[in-house]
Amino acid sequence: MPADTRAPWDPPEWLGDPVATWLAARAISDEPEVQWTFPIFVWRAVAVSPTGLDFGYEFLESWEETTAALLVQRHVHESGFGGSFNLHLSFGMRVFDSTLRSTTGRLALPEPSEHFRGRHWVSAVAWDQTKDEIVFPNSWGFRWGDGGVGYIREEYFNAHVDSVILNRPTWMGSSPAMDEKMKTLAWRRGTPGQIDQDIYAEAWHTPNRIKAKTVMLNDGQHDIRRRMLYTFAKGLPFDIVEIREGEDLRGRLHLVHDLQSRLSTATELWVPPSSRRGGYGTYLLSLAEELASGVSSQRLRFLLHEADAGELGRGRATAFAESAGLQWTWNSTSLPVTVGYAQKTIPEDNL
Amino acid sequence: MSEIKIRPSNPYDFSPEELSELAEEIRQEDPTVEVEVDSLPEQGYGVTPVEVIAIITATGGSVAAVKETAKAAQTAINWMRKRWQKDKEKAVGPPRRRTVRILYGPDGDELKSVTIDEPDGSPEEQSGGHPEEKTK
Repeated sequence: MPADTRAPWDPPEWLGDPVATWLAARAISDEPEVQWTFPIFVWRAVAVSPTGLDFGYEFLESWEETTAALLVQRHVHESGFGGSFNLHLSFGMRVFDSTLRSTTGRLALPEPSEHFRGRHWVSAVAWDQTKDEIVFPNSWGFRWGDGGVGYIREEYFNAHVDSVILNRPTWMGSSPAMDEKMKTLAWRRGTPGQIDQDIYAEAWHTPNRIKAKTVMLNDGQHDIRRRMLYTFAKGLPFDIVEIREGEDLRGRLHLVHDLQSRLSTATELWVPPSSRRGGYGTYLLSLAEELASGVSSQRLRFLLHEADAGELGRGRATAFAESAGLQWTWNSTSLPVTVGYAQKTIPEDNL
Repeated sequence: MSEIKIRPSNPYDFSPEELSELAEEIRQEDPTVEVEVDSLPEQGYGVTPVEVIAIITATGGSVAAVKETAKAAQTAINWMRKRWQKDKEKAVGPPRRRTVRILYGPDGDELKSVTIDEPDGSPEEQSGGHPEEKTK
């Protein structure tokens, strides 16, 4: 594999031209005319590409998970891999007057009288363990902060960060294939069951192959492609599935299985606008049920992200849930930002 | 009669009262102009360090309409400059840069963009602003 000379914080190569990707992201959102948008549309825009299944996105839920991911990012980079081989982290946060005027880049909790100025998205590039702060290059120019660089501590993170997305390669990295490789490496070293940093880094680039099958949908041949992973943060089984007709993406599903609580959660079920009303969402739902049954989950849940919960999106989501016999619950969460979920109980005879 | 819309890029940068104040100043400058505040709700993430306001004209390019739009734009520039000066005097840290964008038509084609910045807040016309400064 080629030696990588990029810094760990360089934008992933697969993101392509950031401005073009941002425009593509807006185009697939429900409100393409607005300037602001949600980063999940950026990752969906990447997912649309023919190699979209090579990359995944998952939501982190805490400071601990985010800093752990940044450590792994650094270790993977130090082991000679980066760019498309590595993780990329970004997060969204609420900002205030003092944030906008910072001359040090260190985000301070706002005074009660300070104005809220909206939400902002940045990439996280490192965790400075000595100062216990996450380093982020801001997009506000060199006049802001520490020459354009900012620092966030746990206190601000817990109070004002509302979303963290980890982008990762799916063709390598944390997966059942990597798990097997780590066990093999530990056994070969004469320390079975002991996974250290070196073994983790070496096993990181174990190929994670695609499982594929062909089905007929809408009188046309479609490929169903699946990659089995583990979630980065909690190590839960994580399926990413896509439907393609030729090179065209018709739908994508991310399904995380919590084996302890026997709950499978679709953190992503997305059908591109041009493919809607073609039965792809319904097909992905039945596939989710099949995969959830396969790991003995008793419940299947579909999250509605804030990004999909505009005027159009709410109606679409609730109508879909109703037609599929799912029970709808409005419930706002942060990390990730969701506004509700649809759920069904998996019949015992399916298990 | 010209129709003009005032639209902030970031709905959290201006209070409704502040936007009404600007609308009133434009009306006072030219009572024949119809002014409407058109503040769109937040849609995700996108705060910029620059405080941006757009003056949007939907009226055709008659000489009178062009003059009315130019007058409204100048009022907005003066108003933003006053905000910048107040900010410079009172705020801890550097004042935020201000931009007034003058847009035409439903697609928002940019006619002109003026920035107010350090050292003295003199308005400067920009060609091709930063993409992040663009208005909804």
